[in-house]
Amino acid sequence: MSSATAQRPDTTRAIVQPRDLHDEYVPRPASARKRARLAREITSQVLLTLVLLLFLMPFIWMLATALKPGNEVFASPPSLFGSEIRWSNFVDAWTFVPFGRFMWNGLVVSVLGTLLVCITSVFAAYAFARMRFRGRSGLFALYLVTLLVPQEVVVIPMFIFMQELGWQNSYQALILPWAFTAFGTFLLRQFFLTVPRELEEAATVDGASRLRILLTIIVPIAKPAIGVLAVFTFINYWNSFLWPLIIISTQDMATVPIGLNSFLGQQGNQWQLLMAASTISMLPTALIVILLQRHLVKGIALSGLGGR
Amino acid sequence: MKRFVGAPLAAVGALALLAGCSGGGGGSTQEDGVTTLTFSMWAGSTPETEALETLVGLVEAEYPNIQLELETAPFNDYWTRLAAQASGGTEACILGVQSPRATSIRELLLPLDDRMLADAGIDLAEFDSAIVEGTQVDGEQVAVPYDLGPLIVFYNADAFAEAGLDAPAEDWTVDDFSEAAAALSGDGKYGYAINPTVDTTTAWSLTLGGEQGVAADGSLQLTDPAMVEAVAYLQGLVADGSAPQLPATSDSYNALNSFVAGDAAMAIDGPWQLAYVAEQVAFEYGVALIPAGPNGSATPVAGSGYGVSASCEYPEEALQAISVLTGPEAQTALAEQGRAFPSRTAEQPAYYQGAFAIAEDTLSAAGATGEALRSTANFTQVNTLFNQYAVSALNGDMTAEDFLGTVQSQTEAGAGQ
Amino acid sequence: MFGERTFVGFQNFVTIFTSDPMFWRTVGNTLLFVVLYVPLNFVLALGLALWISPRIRGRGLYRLLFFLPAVTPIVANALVWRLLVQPNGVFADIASWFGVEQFNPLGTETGAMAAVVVMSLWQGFGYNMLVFSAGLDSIPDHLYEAASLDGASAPRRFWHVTLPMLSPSLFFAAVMTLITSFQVFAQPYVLTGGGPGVATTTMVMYLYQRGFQLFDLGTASAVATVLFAIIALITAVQFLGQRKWVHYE
Repeated sequence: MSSATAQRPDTTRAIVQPRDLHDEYVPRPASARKRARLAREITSQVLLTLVLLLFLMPFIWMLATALKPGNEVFASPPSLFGSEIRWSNFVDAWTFVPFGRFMWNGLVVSVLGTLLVCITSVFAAYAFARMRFRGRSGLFALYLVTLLVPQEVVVIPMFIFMQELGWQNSYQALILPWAFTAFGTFLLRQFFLTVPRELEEAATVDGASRLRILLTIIVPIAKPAIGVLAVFTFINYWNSFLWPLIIISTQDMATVPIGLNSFLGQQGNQWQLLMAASTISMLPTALIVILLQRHLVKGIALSGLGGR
Repeated sequence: MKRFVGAPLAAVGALALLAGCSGGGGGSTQEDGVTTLTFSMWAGSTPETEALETLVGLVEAEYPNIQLELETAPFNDYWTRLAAQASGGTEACILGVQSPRATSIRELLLPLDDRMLADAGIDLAEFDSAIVEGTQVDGEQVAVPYDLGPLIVFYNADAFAEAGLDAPAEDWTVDDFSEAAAALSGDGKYGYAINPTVDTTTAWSLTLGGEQGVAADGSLQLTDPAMVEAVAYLQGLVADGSAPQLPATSDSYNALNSFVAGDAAMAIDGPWQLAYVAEQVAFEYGVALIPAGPNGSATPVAGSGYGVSASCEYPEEALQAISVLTGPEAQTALAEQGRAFPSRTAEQPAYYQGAFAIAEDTLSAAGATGEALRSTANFTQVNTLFNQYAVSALNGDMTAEDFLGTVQSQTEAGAGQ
Repeated sequence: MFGERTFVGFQNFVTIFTSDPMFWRTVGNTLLFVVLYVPLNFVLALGLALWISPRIRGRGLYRLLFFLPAVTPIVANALVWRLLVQPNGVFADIASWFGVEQFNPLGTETGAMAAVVVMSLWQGFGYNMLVFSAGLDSIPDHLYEAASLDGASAPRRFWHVTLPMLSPSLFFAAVMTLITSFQVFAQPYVLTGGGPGVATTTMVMYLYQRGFQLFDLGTASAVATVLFAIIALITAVQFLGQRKWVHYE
């Protein structure tokens, strides 16, 4: 967010260093200090765990509801467990609508979309960060302005555009309209600005092309930032609701959020199946975040979202 | 977190607008003597979709020169998508039409005159008259109905027995209803769960005052004394604890959910919910007529059908397909699955079997006293605002007159646009 | 509604500004949501980031779990909240332990807005928490050590070291959170349907209703334009103001 960061000598500087905010400087006997610290830590952990449990209650309730018989979902007074644990709800949810198909569609769209977004963002960001051309800052501002437009606004013209191309009800219609994001460009540009120019200058002297420099020097350094972009893009594609709702017209092309909505039918609501399906629908994104957990915070810190 | 994918390509989209909106027109092609028509209909679950595919099979067997391409969306999403498609001029050739929404999408639909209907072999005299009327707009037929639904009372027979009450008689009155509701309430249970919708309120306004919220000439008259009386009656039920407080929600089945869970002993809904109720409840249940008011029992009738979109290039073929979709064979098939109460009077007995046999007396009586639920061009907005403000009104935060007046004036202000 | 499009000049704007009874209500609702949501989001996100940041064992896991609602489908999240807050739901049950007889937040105008805000906080604050955590992690220790040596108390260190060093993260989060909170849609759409009355009908929800339920694209576009102008204005003010409080290295 500022050219000052460009002078940072080492972008991969370590960021994770345990540190105690409450560290008192006044010296005390070591053992007493240790004990006090331990007590504080235990209290902190216990409290934090309690807060977390409360915080996760909606998910716990989601799972519990997914295991109840249908007519006990709204039982009063409510209880966490129904008269029986009905694992078969998960099977029923899977077959009540073609949920496997929804998951597959969602994966195809999210994976391809994420790849595309990363590629286009890298190129656009590099252009904005390193190449000089007329109207660059104006164009960049215009790019940023698109961040301010709610998706609901863009949907109708985009729909008409897709119709003109004859792309309704297709994977490309689900993927391409959102494959050029101002956010990704912005995020990567900020990061590229922090990469020392000397690295590239050396390569330029050796006669490397811009593309080569981008792919062999910039991209490897930018991995954490690209990783963050990939995670958020995947989540966005996976959870996108309004656009698939409008552009998809057959069930075999629908994605997961649309699939969730099919449980709220004209003929009653299958809440227990809906909650089972919701639980399943959480898994892919939750899994990605769990697997990339270590890199996520680091990536955010490095990519400039963390500010520095 | 649509925050990041939120906004790209607005400029490209705008260019598309500038490039002009020719639109494909009805989504139909003709090749080698075979006409392919798109057929758009709501369906959520796999069984619902399969039922529709069965109907498509019937059409293609009857007319080998017609092929249908089925498009489906869950019920609520169906209307959203229809709006988007209409704005692009690419709606399907055959459209599912729900009678209260027929007026609002009439511009999308081809009026079906007697000659066209006769050519396709459709005789509307074979259909229930209330729903034939319900699928007309200003006297023009815009859809051929395949089912109908008079609103009826679902009741929990076990709860009635436990409270020492007789099951609702065929000639029960509003007073009987109030007494039963009061007797069935207490200990976190309620006699009646209210669905804060126009249709349910219309059931009460018809039976209490003999009038609907829409006048016979199609103008909105929500503040009609009959509607005020109906709302006041429902407010009373909430106030004295015979009905639960209402939450604001986008879930239109809140009342039915309470009924199925056994929290409320009665709910008002349509026969299309019978299959769901039969599958879900863990108690004996029954159905009864809307209780009679001063002028006897009355109930609003809604239903669904199929229309031909105005942009369809092959309306004759489309109507031929519809003649099969709404034909005796199709209706019998749906009736036997409990998916729809047939709009064809001759096929209605097919519905009364198995779990649905208990509905026979009530439905045939309701059919006799049913009156088509009237609607206006902006009925979607009326419905939305009605649901939203009814929560405040029924919880006692607004008077009945205020509530109905607010919905009326806000819809009128919106209608001018 | 359908059919031919005609050019009507500024008529749609005139209509929403003067004769539309809903428009200003939805602007007010949106502003109310933003005013409640954004500060609370920041307090929660920063508070938890500070709490989890020092040597808490398994802090990666804690951060992850608090972030979880932000990555699950918002439709699923809002649906389960609907189960929790309805009159015979769990929250009502808990409220009854404290002697609250009629717990029905979605039945009153203030309660419904509160429910939408709380649900949105639950769903959304984890993202900012992650951003702040990353920012906190990258503050060099020597700054704190130097401050301690100068005898600065914990609050003073927070005020003079943590906040300035975190200010770029705070700025980024403020810009993004304000933009998205003005665009709030899915939470009221799934949770309250905009009611009771129009108490939780936000601007985007209103433009959705206009455009997609009533096929009135003219009004929808006018609402969208006004929303865009508001967001652009606020973002511009933020960028202009950042020099006063955002410290880059």
